[in-house]
Amino acid sequence: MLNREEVKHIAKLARIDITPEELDRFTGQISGILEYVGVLDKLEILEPKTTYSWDDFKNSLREDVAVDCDRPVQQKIIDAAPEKQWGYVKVKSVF
Amino acid sequence: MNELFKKNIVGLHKMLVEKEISAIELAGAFLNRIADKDKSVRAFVSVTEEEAKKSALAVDQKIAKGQFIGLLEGIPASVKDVLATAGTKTTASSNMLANYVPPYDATSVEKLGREGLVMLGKTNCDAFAHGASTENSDFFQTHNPWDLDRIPGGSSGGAAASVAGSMSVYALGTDTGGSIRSPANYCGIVGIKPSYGRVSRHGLFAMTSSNDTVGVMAKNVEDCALVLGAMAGEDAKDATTRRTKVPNYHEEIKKFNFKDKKIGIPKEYFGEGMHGGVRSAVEGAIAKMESLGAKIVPISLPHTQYAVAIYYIVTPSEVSSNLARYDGIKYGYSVMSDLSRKDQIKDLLDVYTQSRKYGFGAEAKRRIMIGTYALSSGYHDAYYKKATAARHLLADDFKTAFKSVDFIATPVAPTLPCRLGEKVSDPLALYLEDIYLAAVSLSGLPALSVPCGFARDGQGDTIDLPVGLQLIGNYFDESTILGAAYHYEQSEEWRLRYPNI
Repeated sequence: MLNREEVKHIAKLARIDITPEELDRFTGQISGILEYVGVLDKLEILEPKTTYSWDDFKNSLREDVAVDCDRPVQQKIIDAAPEKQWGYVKVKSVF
Repeated sequence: MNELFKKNIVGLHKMLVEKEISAIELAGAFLNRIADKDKSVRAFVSVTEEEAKKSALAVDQKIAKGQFIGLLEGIPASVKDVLATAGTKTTASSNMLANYVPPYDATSVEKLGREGLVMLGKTNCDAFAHGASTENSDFFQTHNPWDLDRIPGGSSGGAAASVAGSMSVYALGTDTGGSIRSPANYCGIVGIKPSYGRVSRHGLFAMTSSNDTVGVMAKNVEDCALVLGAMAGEDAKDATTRRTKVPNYHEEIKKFNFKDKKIGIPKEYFGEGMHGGVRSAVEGAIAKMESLGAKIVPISLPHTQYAVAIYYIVTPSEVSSNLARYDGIKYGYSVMSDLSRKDQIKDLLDVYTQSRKYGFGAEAKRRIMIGTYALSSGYHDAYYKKATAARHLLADDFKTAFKSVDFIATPVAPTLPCRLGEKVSDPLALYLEDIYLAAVSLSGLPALSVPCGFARDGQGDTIDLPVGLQLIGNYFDESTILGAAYHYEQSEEWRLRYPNI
């Protein structure tokens, strides 16, 4: 079971500002879901493997070379940003 | 209902080639039906009338010049709103992307575009495809065409409702833990989720990258086979796609024969808690396949009981990582372009936390937070690492089973579609709907839902609701399940019933 303080901390790590009402609701719901997935504690795995693939397929990767992005597409990507200047995406100061 | 809406792709193609109807008239007929029926069903987030007419006109010009047209050319279809469409708003049914216009097409959309797709519009879903009822859409609820008071399933609920309501011939959907099979089941249509790596994920807004697939939904198996064949194949933009040759599914399904086929029936998928009407429809379908010559083989998938728990650790973990990209900086909702909130923003951290506060709905927030927790220092081994290791056991269960059977038959969901709002405040209750769906996704296998009967929910209910049968295939063996579904479908008449909307 998680308490409110723990859920508040998770929200902070997840970069989401949550309201006190959300905090109450999520604390109950997330605890319930974690309790349910706790069924896995009963499962003993003798030789745990950490990567998953049905067969031994390795991703098909292209050559590591720079591929240019079309000007008009570049412009559309910059246009999608809420704040921009001189063809760059602009952000708020970190501090 | 007009006979036009009952035609399959081959039938419509014949009408186009023989000039019984033009592509623009065909598109117009579907657009009119959307204008009329979607007021009550609400399958579409946006209707792309202009683009549809433009694509249709191009097909008509080819026909007028006597040029060859492909089977999919001029066929009107819908696209789930988590697949990027260049120049057309793609929202993932979320406030976060409510105004987002992608500069590129998803590979699946681009491939069908080359085949002459007439896109009617983008369909509603649970926001970011998080859900099994389409009630998590940040915009509005989609209704089940068979009973407007009930959920269509999800997350591709709008896609399924657009097909079941005869507002599109086929629909592109996506399936990460059941999002095609669940709504296909509840809406009484066919839906196939291909093997992981069969269809490119490029342009599908990532939810769980290790499970996400793009698939197709239609009123019949043959249409699904045709569209899947056109989308499948290697793509340089998705490193997990395979070079393996794409079979001609359209031809393969006709060659299939139930004789000498072994169908595995996993005992874990027929336990308690299943609605009696669902059970009898599914058991009836299995008996029918047996009467057509198949051999029924009882099997066991012993780790089934852990599938939903594994899924709801793996999924939120990947969601928390994938949705980190929505930060209010690059695209999507940002407090910085929200004049009512911009003034309160002091620094970069505020941009993140406030943009995500207003851009994400409750389910996205829940999943991001569970995933953040499961991946966080101190809990990573107990949750994520354990789930990833357990995932192998699920896949191994299937591997063992496929040594002795050709494919597996199960129900799609234990119950009939619930009423709108019935389970919305209890996320765990809806998660448990995925009980027959999650293990297949976690193993990367192909699976489909095909209608196998009708049932009434409770005593006193007067509306027949559709029930589907799930067929699960071996890795990259879509042909077998499509073939079996096709021959089963043709032996029954479920496909000849239509919802009365």
